[in-house]
Amino acid sequence: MKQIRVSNVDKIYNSTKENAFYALKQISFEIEAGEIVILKGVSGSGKSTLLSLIGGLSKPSSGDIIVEGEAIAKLPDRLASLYRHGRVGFIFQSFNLLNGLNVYQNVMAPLILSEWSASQREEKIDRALQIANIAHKKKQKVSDLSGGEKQRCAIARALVMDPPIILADEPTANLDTHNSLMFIEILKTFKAMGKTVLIATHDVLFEESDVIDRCIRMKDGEIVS
Amino acid sequence: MKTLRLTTLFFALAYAVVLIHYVSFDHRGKEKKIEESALRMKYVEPSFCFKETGYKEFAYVP
Amino acid sequence: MFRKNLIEYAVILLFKDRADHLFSFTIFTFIVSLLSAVLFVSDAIRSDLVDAAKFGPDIVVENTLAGRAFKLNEEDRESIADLAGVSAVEGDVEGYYYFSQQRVWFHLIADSSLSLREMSVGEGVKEAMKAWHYEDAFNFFSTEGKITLKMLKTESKQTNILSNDVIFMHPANVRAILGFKVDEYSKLLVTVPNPNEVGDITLKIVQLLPTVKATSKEDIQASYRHLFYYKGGIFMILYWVCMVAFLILLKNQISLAYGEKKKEIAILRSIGYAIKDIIALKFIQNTVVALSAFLLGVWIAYMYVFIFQAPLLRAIFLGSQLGRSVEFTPIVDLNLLFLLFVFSVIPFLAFVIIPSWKIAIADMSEAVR
Repeated sequence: MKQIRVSNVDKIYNSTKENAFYALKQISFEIEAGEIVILKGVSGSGKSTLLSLIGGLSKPSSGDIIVEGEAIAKLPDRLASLYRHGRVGFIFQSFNLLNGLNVYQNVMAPLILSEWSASQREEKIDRALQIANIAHKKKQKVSDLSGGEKQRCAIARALVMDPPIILADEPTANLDTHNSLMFIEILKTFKAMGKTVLIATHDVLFEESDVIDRCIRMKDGEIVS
Repeated sequence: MKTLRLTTLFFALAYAVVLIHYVSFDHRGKEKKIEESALRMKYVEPSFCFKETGYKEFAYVP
Repeated sequence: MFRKNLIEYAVILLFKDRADHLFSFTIFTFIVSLLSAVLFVSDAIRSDLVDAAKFGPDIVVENTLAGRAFKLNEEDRESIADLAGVSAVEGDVEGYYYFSQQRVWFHLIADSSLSLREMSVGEGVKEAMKAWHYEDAFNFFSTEGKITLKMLKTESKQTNILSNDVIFMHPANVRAILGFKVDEYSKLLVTVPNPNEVGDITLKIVQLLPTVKATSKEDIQASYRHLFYYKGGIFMILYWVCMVAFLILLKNQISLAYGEKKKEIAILRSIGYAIKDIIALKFIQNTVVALSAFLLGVWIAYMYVFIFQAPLLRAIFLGSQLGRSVEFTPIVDLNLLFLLFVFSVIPFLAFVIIPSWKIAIADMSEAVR
């Protein structure tokens, strides 16, 4: 069974008005468990929109998105939140960290919704921080971190619940080459952990890497190859 | 949680002071003194500074 | 809904935005302490007066002429005494003496236990006299000439609510100073053994003597209970002004931080927080703030009123001319405090949670891009 199946998905903005805009048109594709796939395209091609649909952050106008046998497009808020909480780890382009908190407290955020004890939480956080290589900064406020360190904090937060799927939206857009390459190295760790990774990017560094399994090209809301 | 515990402790101590003050006040003694004074006065009027009815109602409109 | 983890994280987030929360905490504490202080002072004064009024006569009769207080005479006393149901009518002579140097009025009350050359004074009177170097004796001036009385003692501070402006003296002295003849009275104090007849007898008195005002003990107690009553006058005005001003300030503050709050909620939603979790977080944060502010406000009010005796505020209730030494009896009406809690904390919580709910139900995908 395919882990992620997207079938005939449309995303239309202003659908009831004359100037209706198709951000996605009849998108269909499948992803196996453990694959690392990049969505490639210029700005406005719809890759971030597609990622947010698969991540359960918004709903498609039509079509189905089946993740591990569950139709996530029609889930009510409570179940969609559960899906985002336990099955998906999202790494945002602007990192989306809680600024007044430190690294530890940011990575802790998803664990709050579960019943784990303080010691169990600490174990999980430490493990995620180690994998993301940011454990040495755990008590530092995120506002004092560099771009690369912020991203590693975001990665740790995405990993802390050990989700099967990682979604990354333009993860290297705000990073220098060195940190971009470090991110690609972390992808190898994700692969070793058996995670399914979907990355929306127009960074050529990904195409040159051998960790990527497949590339889906998008243009004007459609898949071109 | 440590913060909440400290806050609770602070309020517990603060209100303990209030409770001690309230309990240690000689309510009965004051009541007796007021009773004595009231019996001497026969007809009790509050000892506010404004004597005219109009002035009394300035501070408070019933 | 309120798991221990969530409470812990809510407190962490609370301290993240401590400047914002400190602002609303401080203002709310001030409002609660002001309103509670007003309630405490009112209750303290009212309770002493209501207690004192218990010992008064069943009916008090006062005469008026052209709307002002006027004397009663022996005939009036006898005609009331003849009414069925009245067991005794005592004539009382008392009134006010103007001390021009201090521009204050002293309340002269007859007390036959004192001798002709003596008086006992309230604390406020003593201070007023002392300011003009009348330490042991005082001269009263009347149409009959100068009357000098020696100060026997000062009334207890605990009774200042009644006796602060009072001078007790022999009835003959009161008459001489105020110009009352032997058969004239300022008030008639009527005793009615059967409490069920008080109402009827009050009406009969007024029918008998149309210019008089007859007030039953119950009416006097009711008027003292309604003095400074919270449902009217200064308290309600203060409450509405404070709450409206506070909510406007809060709205401004919320608007200023709207963008940040929207982002924060969108981030939490994106990592799996459901709408109910966001509401729970905000509820916990703001309950901690509101509850702490309320408790602190009430505590400050108690200290301010009953330990420091409400400087500044007391002048609004007691006036500022005669003495400042009324001691407030600690009275805490838990029902009123509960009402204050309901009408302050709940609007506060609603005002802060509703915007958060609106943000939480909105589309988060744009906010997290």
